[in-house]
Amino acid sequence: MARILIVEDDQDINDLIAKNLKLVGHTYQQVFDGVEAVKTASENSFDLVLLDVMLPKMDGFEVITKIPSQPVIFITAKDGLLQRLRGLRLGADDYIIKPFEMLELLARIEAVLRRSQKNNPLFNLNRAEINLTDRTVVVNGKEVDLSPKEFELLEVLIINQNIALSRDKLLELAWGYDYMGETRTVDNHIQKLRSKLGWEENIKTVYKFGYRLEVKR
Amino acid sequence: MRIRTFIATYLLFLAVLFSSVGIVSFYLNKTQINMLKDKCAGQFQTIVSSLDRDVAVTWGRNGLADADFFENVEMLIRGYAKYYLRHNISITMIDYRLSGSEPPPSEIAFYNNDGVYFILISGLLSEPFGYFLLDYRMDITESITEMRMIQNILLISMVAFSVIAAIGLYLVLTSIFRPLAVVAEASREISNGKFDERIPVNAKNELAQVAIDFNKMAEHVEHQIFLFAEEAENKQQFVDNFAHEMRTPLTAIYGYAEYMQKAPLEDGEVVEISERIMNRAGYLKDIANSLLELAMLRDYKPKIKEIQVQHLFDDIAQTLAEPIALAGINFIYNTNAYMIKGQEDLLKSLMLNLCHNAIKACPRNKGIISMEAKEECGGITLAITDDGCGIPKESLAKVTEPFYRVDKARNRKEGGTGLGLTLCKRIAEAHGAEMSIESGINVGTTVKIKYLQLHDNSEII
Repeated sequence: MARILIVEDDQDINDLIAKNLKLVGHTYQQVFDGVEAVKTASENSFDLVLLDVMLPKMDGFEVITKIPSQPVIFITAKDGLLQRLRGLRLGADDYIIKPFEMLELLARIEAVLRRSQKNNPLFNLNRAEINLTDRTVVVNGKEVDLSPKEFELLEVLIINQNIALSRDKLLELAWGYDYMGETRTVDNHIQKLRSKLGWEENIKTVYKFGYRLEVKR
Repeated sequence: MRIRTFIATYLLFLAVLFSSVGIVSFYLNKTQINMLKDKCAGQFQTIVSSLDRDVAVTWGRNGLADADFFENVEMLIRGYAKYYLRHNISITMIDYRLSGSEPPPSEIAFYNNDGVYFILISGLLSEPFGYFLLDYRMDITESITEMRMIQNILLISMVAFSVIAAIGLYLVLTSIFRPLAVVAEASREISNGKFDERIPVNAKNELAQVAIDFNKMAEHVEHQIFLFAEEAENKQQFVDNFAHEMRTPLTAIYGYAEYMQKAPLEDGEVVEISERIMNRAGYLKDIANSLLELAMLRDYKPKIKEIQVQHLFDDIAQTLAEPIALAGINFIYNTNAYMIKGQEDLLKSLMLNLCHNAIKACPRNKGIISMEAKEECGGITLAITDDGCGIPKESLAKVTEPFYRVDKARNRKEGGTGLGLTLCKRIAEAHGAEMSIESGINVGTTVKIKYLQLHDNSEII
């Protein structure tokens, strides 16, 4: 679980990002302008900074040059190529364009954290321990064998914990865009994960939508 | 164009030249031959009359002793022939007395026999010697050859002259067409998008007026193109700004709806999140309404009425009472004008908008806003002055552009659509008034609505 600084001047969007980070288990701090961002980032250490480009007092491009070196994802309303290039040249790890989808934002955060190895590879829930790096699963002290697809699905659920994922989305994320399988395949794999991990209560069925791995905090 | 003109003119020239010279030389030829014929006929007549006389003398001397008479006549003819031969004339006499056939009638003719030209005249002597036919041939080959030579010289000089004329014509046409070529070149440049192309105006040039007119046209075209480009750019800017303006609320609305769909919601979260969604949707609705109003005001003719200024101001003060009290601002208003012409709801909306801006600019619990109407020289100026934060100089020209924000963060929080001043400007313009803004940082801002002219032509209801 990572510590993330959110720099976004719009209250609603700042809160929205915060809520989503909280869902998947990250901790965060919210700031609303460029000057405050530089101050906060200099005084504390973060695993990742989500940085809006258009900020009051000091824009994101200036902020990134004034904060200690750390992973940065730009959030921008302008999708001009030059802006993107400028952001990336200044050392940003990625950029995301408004309006964005929650899953897309979380996927990019996950990718950057994995690259900078700031994410915790161990995940514990209900007597099951999963190591995402070694791809091993231990339940009640005993190692459990998962098929590769079952593990992919499990990883997707863990990364997007507390978020309901539709069957189509799960197919896309775990099997890939071009997989022509049926949504029944997802149901079968979910059943197997539930029984192998003892997660009957933790993987919730969301009525008429899909599944959600619920992690209480 | 130039080549075609050249060919046509030149062919016409050649046709006229050659046909006229041809006709002239044909008639000259004919006249020359006729003159020669006349000359020969005169000579023939002289010879005949002198022969008549000599034959009569010979006959009188010898009587009708035939043998001697004919011998003498023959000698006589030989003498004549010998004499005239020196003048290229051959003379023979034929005696028809014994032949029994009728002598041919006299004739005069021009003959050409294998390159030898001659004029032949035949005729009888006078009675009683009418049986002698005199045959006269004059060799005129020399005259004809001379004539041909003159004709050849004429032809050669005509060809030479034609060549010179061709060169001259070409040069003249080139110089005549040069301005046209310049115009054509300039037109090509302009059609290729080089709208600043102009023709140098040469005072000596006969087509100077054409050049001046062409340049005027080019200038006009350039100006129009510039206006179109500017308008297109403004529209593009508007669309860009609009798209940008949509993104933040859309991100929020989409994001919160997605959150509601996918996250396990805590107690009270549904209310909080739906509130946020509704607020943002409300903001989009405000933008839509403002845009609609802007569109409506385009080419709009306000329904002009006489409005009591005091009444209008009282109305505005009443509407603003609550926000002014909340902000703790001192609001004063006065007027020296009695009546103003305009559409009341539009004018009120304009003034309210400006007052709201003034309230936002003033710090809480202090600050003075004054609204006044002044009548000078028959024109009315409305003014709203605050002593708030002011507008930076570089932003002053842009504040009436759609979606322009001096301070993005502050305005968003206070719920502005970014279209308020754009609307104010449109309303002012629809009333034939001009909106101007003066401002100093931390000094305050004054917005003036100055009526440029009275609405004499507008309908008063």
